[in-house]
Amino acid sequence: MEDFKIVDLYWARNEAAICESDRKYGRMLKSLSYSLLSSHEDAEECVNDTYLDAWRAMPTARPTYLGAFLSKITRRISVDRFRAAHREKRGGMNVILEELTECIPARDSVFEEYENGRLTDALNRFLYAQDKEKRAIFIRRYFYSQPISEICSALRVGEAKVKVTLYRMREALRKELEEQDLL
Amino acid sequence: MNNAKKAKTAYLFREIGTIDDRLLQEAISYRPQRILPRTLMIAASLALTVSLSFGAILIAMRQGTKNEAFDGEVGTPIDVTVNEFTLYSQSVAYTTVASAQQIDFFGGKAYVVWQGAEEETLCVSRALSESEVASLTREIPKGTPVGESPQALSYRVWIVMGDGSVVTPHLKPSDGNVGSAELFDYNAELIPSQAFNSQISEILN
Repeated sequence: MEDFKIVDLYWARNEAAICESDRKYGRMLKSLSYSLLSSHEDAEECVNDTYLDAWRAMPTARPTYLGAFLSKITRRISVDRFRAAHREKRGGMNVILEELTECIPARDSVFEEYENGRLTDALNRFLYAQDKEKRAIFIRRYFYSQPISEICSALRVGEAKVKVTLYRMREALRKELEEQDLL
Repeated sequence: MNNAKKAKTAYLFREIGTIDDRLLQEAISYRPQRILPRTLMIAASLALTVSLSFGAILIAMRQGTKNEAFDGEVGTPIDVTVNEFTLYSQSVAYTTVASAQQIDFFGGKAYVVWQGAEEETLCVSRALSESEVASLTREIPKGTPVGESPQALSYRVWIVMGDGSVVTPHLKPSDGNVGSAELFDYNAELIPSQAFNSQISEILN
């Protein structure tokens, strides 16, 4: 079923919306959540909470890209759950966070920047300036938290290329954030 | 990692969660365009011609009158990979997905999907029109039976119908040979008809 039809079901308060969402995006959402939490049980719960949040958010919201809309909810819920559990074990979100540390300039700066949306704008600008393949690699890794091997398979590129692309993009993002006095 | 840096990284990670929906959608649906170099296209066409000729000879040998000189060859498996070879060598109009989970079985649109036996990646054609689906499914029963024992394939092909059902040109149409929202494993019972192969070639070029 097409996204707009599923959104129509949400707006009509039809519970079939949840079944259709799960049928179309359930596996992707579960995979996203699992990659952050490393627990099938927790991932399952996060995905269920996602549908509940989506149910509450609509009819106010009318997302054009339902997959992206649900992914954002799943990611937020999973990150919250991760923080709540405060797991310090290696794997899952910790690996992603370690890689992203390379984007952080060494000096200190104000944290308020995060709150006023400047960082989001900078990220969007940075990504729009990249070619499609590069931003697909970056977003798959750092938004969808996909393993490198999965990215290689989906985009039909080698592991070395993905790793080098990610490294260069992290470096470029760090410079960009430094220049804009962010982070 | 010191605490300040750790906190900033966590903020950055959180902010990545708010990037534009359009970028997120694009990242997950983006497939690199596969364009074969000219020399590779020529080599592929040549190889296809040889392969088709070889397949035709094998079929002729199997269907023709018994020839003493070829007694030992009667049981040789038929080249059922001709069609799949066509898929790989000629097509430029397809995308790839990492797993069947990324295929929309219920999206109302039909696709041809194929996969090499040793491959994990699945290749997906453009969406088929209703008339293309009708003519492809009409051709499935016209395939040539492979004989007593089903043949192992180097590639598998499915038609995802868009309503959850999945069929393959390598199996006789029956209720038992229709998958439900899955790309089922199988051994070939039929060699797809020439008309089926021609239609696939047209769809993919």
